[in-house]
Amino acid sequence: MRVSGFIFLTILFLILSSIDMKVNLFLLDFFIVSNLTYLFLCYLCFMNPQKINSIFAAYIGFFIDLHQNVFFGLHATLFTLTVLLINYNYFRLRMFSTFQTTIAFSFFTAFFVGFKSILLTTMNFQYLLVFLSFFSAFVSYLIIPSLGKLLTNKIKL
Amino acid sequence: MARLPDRSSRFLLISTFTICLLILFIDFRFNTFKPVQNFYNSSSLFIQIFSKDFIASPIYSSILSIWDTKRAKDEIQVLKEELDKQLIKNYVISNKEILNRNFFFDISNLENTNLALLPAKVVSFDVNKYRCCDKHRMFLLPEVSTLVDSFKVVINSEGIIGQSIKINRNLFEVILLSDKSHKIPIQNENEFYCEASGLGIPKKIFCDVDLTLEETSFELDQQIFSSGLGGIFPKGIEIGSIYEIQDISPKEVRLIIELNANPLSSNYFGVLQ
Repeated sequence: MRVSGFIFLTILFLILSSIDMKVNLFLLDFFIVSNLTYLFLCYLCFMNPQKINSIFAAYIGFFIDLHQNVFFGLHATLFTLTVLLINYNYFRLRMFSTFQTTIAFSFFTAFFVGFKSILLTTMNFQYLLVFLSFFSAFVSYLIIPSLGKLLTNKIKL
Repeated sequence: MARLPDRSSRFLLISTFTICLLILFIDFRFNTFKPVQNFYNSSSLFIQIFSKDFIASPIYSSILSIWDTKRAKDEIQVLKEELDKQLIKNYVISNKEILNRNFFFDISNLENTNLALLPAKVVSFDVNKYRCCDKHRMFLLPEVSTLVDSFKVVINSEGIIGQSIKINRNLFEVILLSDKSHKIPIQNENEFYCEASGLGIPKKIFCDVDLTLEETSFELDQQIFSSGLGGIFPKGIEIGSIYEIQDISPKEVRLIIELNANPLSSNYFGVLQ
């Protein structure tokens, strides 16, 4: 990946993280969390497993940790774990239909939200939030591939 | 063993994950990377303030001046800020007797002495995290450039909202009463004492009471005051009322206390120096 592409993706992830934070402010009343950043990473990793590797995931994760002011390494660990899972199941996921892939990534998102909640909202962990995040991720992932193609078309990953 | 895509290294994947996990554990357990986060926050806030004051605001105000609405908006803003400041001062004046009982405050002559109340403005408050998570923090900018030490009481017009944490000369952090890691000694009118912790929910703190130690009775909406035992918060300030009484076990109850002061109600706060 070229440096310009690298910087572009960093900024893109920070913007998506900001959007997530702003959107969550309104959605939280309905126990729904937006995870565009995470789904976008899943999509990129699934489409370009050679270029979106674990080091890139860790780098983006650390940036988002700083941006969201949460425990340093929280997003980095979960992003790396996701990349690891996608890489290990790459050929299996490739055989899935789009619908099945969406369900798989929605499951990943539910686990991501669950792990995050365990560390960030220890005293007020809500299963409903984790449960509903599956559906919100399912809906969100409907737009992620087109958004990803549109945004990463220029940088040619 | 699962096949990986071309040119992917199994060692790289696992080692990166392990390192990230280790960093997360170190930060979670020892707060080792707090300075890094503070540096990032300070830098981003500086950039935000700089870009807002020197880039965005001039452009914005020049556009507004065309329709001559800027003056009216600024006036409203100034009046609102002044009102916030006055409300904070009023709060201090109305609680003067209580505050004067505490040896660490001397505001007996508010008009003639230099009031030990430092106004500070919010520069960053993650409302999202305040509503969703356990960590309730905000960053304030003192109106006069001065170093605000840690453990200073931060108030707004409704009451105590938390205490300060020193960062640098231009910025300090406030840990709110509802933050999970914050504790405040409290009491009620019947001389019942307890150390309440933040519940991680906006405007809520809790206190676990062992009923075997003493006979105490609680009722909903019973007023709760600061006991002043920690030496940080003044004694006798009303901080909230009992919102819920939960039975944890036959011999233990949890009091959920709703705080009076809402940190979202204003942009101005006062630090009792």
